[in-house]
Amino acid sequence: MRSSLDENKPIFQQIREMIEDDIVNGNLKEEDQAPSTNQLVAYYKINPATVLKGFNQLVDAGILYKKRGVGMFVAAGAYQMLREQRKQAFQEQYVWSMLHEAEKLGISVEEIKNMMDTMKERQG
Amino acid sequence: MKKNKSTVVGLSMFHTIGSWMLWYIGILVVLHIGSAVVTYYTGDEVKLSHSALIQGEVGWSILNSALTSSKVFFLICGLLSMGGFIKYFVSNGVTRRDYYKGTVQSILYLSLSFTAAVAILYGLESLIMNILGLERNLHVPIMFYVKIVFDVILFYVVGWFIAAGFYRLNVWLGMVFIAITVLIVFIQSGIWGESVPIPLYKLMNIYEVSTWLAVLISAILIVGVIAAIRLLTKEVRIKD
Amino acid sequence: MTQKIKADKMSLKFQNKQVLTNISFELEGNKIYGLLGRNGAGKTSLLSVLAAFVKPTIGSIKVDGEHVFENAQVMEQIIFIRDVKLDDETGKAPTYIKDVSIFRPNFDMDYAERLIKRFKLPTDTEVSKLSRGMQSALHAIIGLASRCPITIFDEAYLGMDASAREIFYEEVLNDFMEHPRTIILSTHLISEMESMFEEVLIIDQGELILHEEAETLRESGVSVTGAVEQVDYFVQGKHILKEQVLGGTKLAMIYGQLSEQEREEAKAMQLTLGPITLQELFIHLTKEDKQ
Repeated sequence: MRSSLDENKPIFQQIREMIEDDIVNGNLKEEDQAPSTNQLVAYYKINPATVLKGFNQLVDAGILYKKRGVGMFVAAGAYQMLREQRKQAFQEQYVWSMLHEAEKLGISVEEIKNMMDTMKERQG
Repeated sequence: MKKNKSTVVGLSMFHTIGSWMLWYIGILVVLHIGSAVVTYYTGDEVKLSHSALIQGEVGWSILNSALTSSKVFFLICGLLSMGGFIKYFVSNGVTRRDYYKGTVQSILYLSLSFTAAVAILYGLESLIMNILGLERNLHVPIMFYVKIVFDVILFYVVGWFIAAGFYRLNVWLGMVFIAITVLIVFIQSGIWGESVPIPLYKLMNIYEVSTWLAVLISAILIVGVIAAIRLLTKEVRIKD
Repeated sequence: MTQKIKADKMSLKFQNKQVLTNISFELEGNKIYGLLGRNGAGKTSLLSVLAAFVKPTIGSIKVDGEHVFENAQVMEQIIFIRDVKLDDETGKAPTYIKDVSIFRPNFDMDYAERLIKRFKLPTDTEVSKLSRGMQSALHAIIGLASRCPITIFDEAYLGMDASAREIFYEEVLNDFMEHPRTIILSTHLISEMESMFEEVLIIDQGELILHEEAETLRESGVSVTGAVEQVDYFVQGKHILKEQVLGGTKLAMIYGQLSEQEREEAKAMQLTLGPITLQELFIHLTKEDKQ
């Protein structure tokens, strides 16, 4: 959960990302119940149809599943699936733009690798 | 049970304006008793006799006080029956038609209840007079009460008519509505044999007519004004 | 029960002034709609026609195929709440609420009482002596508790303070979930309310310039930043909302979605793409000097 929404992005997308984040960082385990529509609507003051749209996308993607009359639950294998997706995205976005910037500055791939080792050491 | 919307409007307006009427009657009674007491001690004979009392005089009683002041009171009620009320009702999902029908209903209730109240008050007054030994056996013809009913209705609807004119049209045309109203009031007074101390009125030479004809003419005037109000309010825009 | 609202080529003239021009739209119903427009754009006029306060000069407005104006069945189902002053009301709030409730078949008195407590509405003060914020709250309570199939709030929240507005937004959403109906909220304060809307209508100078799903709209604006020539080349032929040059860098806001191909192209041209908020989109779509 986040404290507030970003008004630049479609809200259903943010709802989706929020749930996904919670699954990836372990706040929501498989077979846990996801927050209810009512909770999200009341907390963020958002349109219920919008929340549902976010949820439905997660259901379609196999991340959540519906228990009739009870609510939404995290599907088995959701964590693994999301981790794969994120990894892919990481490569596409972060690595790509890093290489792009490096090229502008004339940094070689070898140098980048060294930089990463240094940062890793600092991080401990 | 689902009540007709116009009846809901009628009862609601009767409730509001009826409560004003109770205040008015209360003040009327207090003033009347006050002046009666004063005249009793000073011994002055108050001459307020009214030729409006059909055939003969009632002398000075609550009837006179009621007859004169009620016209002004109900004219004001009529003036106040437009703007605020139509906005209130339409805001609450009531059609202009039901507002109109309801208001007409409430005018009927008001005129009848006011006349009944006046009759009861007169009875009480006579009773008290008798107990006090102030004999004053006067015969009040039933037509006198009929006239009160007509007066109340007529003055109410002309007030409403003026307000509707101002609401629907501009100020200048509103003035025309006032002129029409003055004419209607003159006719009403004339046919029932009242004298209006205004030169213009004397020039118009309106003659007193027989009671039944007066009833008929009053009824026609009332129906005419009420019909005009419907035309004015039928599709009126509700102002902010 | 869904109430489909349909406006067909509707215009409104008032005292020889064109207030609304050729407005057509269709609202499916059971959604929360946002009606946005600058002050004086015609929001209140449009809603007044819908609420049968005034008859359209040309064209029609219908609910489930029935004309609204002077139609008792339809008018009973529409409530139009405005932030009007109640300076003549000498009764106290509970009486006032009870008086209006008789006109609304779905009125929920228990809910009204809960709302009175939530808004901390004084029950022993004359309505005319309530503060502006409390009068707004009173309007809001009536609007919500009436449970009309078509509930319209015309900037009814402007008089409320921030915390009362929070309560109002929360109640609108909660009650909408429990009792789905058509709710129309008009405002020119967009950022605070936009997340509540499912669909958005934008009116400008008496004309309806946009009717779109809120989420689609949030994706409909793109800001493009980069070198002046590159940006100019990229935005050519697109609907430009705003352009701004700062040194050698240019920012352009465009209306409309970009295709995947265009995004790739932008990336290759080293342009930075970013979203635009609904608020920004609204401001630029309703600018005063439109060419």
